[in-house]
Amino acid sequence: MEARRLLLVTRYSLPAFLRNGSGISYVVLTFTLGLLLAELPLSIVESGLADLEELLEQIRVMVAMMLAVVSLEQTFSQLGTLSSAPTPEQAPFLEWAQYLLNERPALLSAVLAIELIAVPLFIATGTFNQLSGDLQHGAIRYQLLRTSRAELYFGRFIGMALFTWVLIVALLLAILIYVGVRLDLYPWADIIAWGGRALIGFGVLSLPYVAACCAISANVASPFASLVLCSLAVGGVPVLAIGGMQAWEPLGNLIYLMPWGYTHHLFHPEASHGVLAGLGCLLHGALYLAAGYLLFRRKDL
Amino acid sequence: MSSDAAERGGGEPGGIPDGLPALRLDGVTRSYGSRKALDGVSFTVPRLSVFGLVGPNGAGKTTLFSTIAAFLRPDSGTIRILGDHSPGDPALLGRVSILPQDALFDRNLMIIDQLILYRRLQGATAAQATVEVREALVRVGLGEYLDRSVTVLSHGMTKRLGIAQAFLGSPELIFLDEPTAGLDPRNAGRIRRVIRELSEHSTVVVSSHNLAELEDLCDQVAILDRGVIKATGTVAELMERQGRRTLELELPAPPSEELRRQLAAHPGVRSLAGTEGRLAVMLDATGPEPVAAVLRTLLDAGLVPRSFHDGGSLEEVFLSLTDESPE
Repeated sequence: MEARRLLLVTRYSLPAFLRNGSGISYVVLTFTLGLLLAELPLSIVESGLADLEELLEQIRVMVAMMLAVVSLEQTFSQLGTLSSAPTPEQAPFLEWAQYLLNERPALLSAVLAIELIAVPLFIATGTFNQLSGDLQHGAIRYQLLRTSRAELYFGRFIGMALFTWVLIVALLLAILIYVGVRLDLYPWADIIAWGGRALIGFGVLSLPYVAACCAISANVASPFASLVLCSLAVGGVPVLAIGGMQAWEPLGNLIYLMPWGYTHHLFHPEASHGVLAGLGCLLHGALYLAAGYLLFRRKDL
Repeated sequence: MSSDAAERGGGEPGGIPDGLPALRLDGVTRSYGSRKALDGVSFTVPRLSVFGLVGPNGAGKTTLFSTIAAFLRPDSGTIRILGDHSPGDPALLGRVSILPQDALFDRNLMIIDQLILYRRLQGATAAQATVEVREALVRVGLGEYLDRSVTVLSHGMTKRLGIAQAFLGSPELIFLDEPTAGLDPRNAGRIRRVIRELSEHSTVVVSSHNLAELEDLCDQVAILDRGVIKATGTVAELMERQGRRTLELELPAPPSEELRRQLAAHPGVRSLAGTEGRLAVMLDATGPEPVAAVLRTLLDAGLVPRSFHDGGSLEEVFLSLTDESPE
């Protein structure tokens, strides 16, 4: 693999992606839905409909419930009991939620908790066409005698990962600025510190999902089929795991087919959890990329 | 000529070890499910030649090109390109190019940007690539479409764009899959001129249904039918091997029935064909005698041929080898 050709593939993949439908829809979807979701907790405070303390308590329970669910410690059927009398198993999640809401800007944490679930879904619906369109129309054949399959595959992945990072940074910056300027509830130092960690966390979090979509896209010569498969892979895994767990508990481990089962640890009070979660994301991403490349390398194009 | 070609000695055979052909296939087989698209294909393409690949629809021409270009993997057999390289060898990057038959260009990039990317991937700088791409597009008559999207191009223009990208960077070996299909006569002629120019520095392998075109362009041809190579060689060799020699004459008036009988009675004349002023005399014999006898008979009858061609057509050989009868 030659760095010069890799960078050329990366560089030229971005304008082509931006000008096609999936690129534009990725930007629009991420921004509109991302900001709409962020608006949910913010609007309650803005409208003055709720007492802030009461609202924070509600958010604390909501965040704790989300943490419990994504950790597969609680299922939806058990959630009703969480707010009334926490069990010893539930206690750590309430403490975790306490950290997110008391020691960190609470509204920002609530927004991040929501985006933690939404961003992978945005990625699945935005990055499904890294190679599949070119495979379908044969455009890739014009490049194949000038660059290697490895350079094409990894070059496109790097381009899409960078594009996704820029998009996430823009989305988070919009939220941070809005919370800081408009609501004026937290000191800027707290917002910047927590926002910085969120930027790193979401940057790492995006990698395995972009990698999974790259692997699918490189081996499915139809953008529509790629979109369906990417959506099923990213969105279907937690549904399958949580649903399957109800029938037979070990099926809950299916959640680890994707990083869903541990990415919330990126925002754990203990830094070591965050580092391990980040490493997990990198490992997952590397596995998807390698598996996708092994298939792509031998694929008929 | 591009600087890459200059560095290699202008695509001189110096890039290939002495004595080795530009391309060698040995027993290449490729199947789609239970159907064999290529069945033990073997042939050799000499350096700096124009090599034609002829075959009916579904013969396996595109599969063969795709296999050589490493788009597809052969089930068995060996392919050696520019010396001893296998398809997909990184050493071949930028030295081999192809005009694929059904590939589309990226609709989301301007034409010039796409070709600049291709040329830069071959090692050119941005400035050098820009100059060469402009020259290439002018050469195929697309100079005014530099800053447009491929969506504004007609089928024929897109084909010319495909040919322009194929000769960017003066590759040593160029594959053109039906390069003139869908082109009007003027542009087809322009492309044939480009191919002739390319063959001065590169080895060109062309597939086509236009047999007259291949006969005119190619030093050697291979006839592919249902995945099997039926014959290879120069057009003259194939005629001789098939025992096909045809004297084609253009006459000022149709020959009478009596004259036809006299011509058919000459030793070495197998049969007559043709309508009105065109006459095709199929010969069994070699040498000048049967031709002289036919011409003498026509002159005695007062018919001075406006033109005559002693030989035969690739089409006849093609049709006989692919089990079709000439119409």
